[in-house]
Amino acid sequence: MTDSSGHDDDRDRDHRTNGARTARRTERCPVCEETVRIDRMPGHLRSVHPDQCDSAKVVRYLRARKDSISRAQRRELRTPRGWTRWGWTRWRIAGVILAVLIVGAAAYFIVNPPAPPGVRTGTEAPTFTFTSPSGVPTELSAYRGHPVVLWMVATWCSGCAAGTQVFAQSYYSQYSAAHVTLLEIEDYNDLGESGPGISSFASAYGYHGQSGWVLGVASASATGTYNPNSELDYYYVVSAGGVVVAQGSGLGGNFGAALSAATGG
Amino acid sequence: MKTVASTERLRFPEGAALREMFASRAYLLAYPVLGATIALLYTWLLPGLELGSLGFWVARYVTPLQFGFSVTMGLLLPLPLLLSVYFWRHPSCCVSSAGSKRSRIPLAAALGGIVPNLLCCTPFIPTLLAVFLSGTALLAVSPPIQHVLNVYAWAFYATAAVSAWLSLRLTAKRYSRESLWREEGPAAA
Repeated sequence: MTDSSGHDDDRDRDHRTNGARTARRTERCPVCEETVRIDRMPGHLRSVHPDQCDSAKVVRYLRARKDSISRAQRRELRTPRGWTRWGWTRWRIAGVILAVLIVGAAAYFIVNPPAPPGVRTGTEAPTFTFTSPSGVPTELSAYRGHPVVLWMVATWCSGCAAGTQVFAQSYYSQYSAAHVTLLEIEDYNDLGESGPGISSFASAYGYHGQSGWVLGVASASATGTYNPNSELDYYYVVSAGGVVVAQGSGLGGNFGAALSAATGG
Repeated sequence: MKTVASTERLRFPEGAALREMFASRAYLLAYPVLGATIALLYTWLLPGLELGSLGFWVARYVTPLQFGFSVTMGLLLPLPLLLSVYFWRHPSCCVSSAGSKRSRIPLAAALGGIVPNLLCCTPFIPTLLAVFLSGTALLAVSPPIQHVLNVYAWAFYATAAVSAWLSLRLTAKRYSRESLWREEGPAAA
């Protein structure tokens, strides 16, 4: 009994001594190579290299020190502070799902390109009535015999503002010389958002009543026909015969192409 | 124990880190070159995305807000980028990881400024939504999203600029901690 208990005490003492020795032993930090006591290594890694705790070399180091660094310490070290590993994993899973959805949507677009919204190119442009800033109703068919560029805009759209400025400064003279009329038509109710009136909007960017540059506001049905996807900046090129010969988004960068299409160039 | 100098160094880490980096002539020369390149890139890209054209002529139509943002990013964005390169090339004075995860912040800052123009004034959102919605549902969803992106573009620009500054601060702070750890021991860091 005595022998046995004495033997146990010796073993415990040895174990404690070995533990203390191990704790006092120093090693080089796997990241910065600073000399650090082994028992303080987890604290050192956590406070000085928080971004490296998951790195391959730290994980390798910790695996090799299973005897001196406890499992709990290793697990705590690999858990970023203020967040759980599962939390990060959930974000990563969500990120992967989102990426798959985006890639899927892009692939769908490539395989099944969406048909151009509104009136198709090559068909006759359906006539509609728009209201001029002075309140006079005007029909699109009134412009038959002249090529027309019909531009559906929202007056709160910065791209439309920039496009209006581009037209006033660089393209108005070319359109005027080619007898091509620009119909700049505000979408019905400005697509449900608040914006300035079409007249004050265009005036702010270079419109001062030039001939061949006509402003107006579209009805709900006209907006639905010519801009069913509610794009902010969509245009149609209508030939002198009333047929849509081209269409697209972003007239600001395409005034030259629209003019060529209108004049058959 | 933290000394007054170390406390100051941790409170304003950018100053110490930038002073040390700009002591090197190469970085002093690289900063204006990189800054001008970034500013010119934004001056061209921001109006280009709005107008739907990437010709160089679009730079003539840059708005004052876009120009201000371009200059701000030209001044701010090169600093964390150059600092990360400096730390990477001088591993003896700092952590090897200076910017491993945080290097994503400059990327987020760089893209943050492009987001409003890319999503507001291009057909991206309406076309994407048109796949799932149609008619009145599309009208109810698409314009409000684009309106927010358009009207609050300044907020996106401000966030991008703050991210660039934050990236600089985090990179510099990390460097300062490492330096203090080495020079004055763990208590100082």
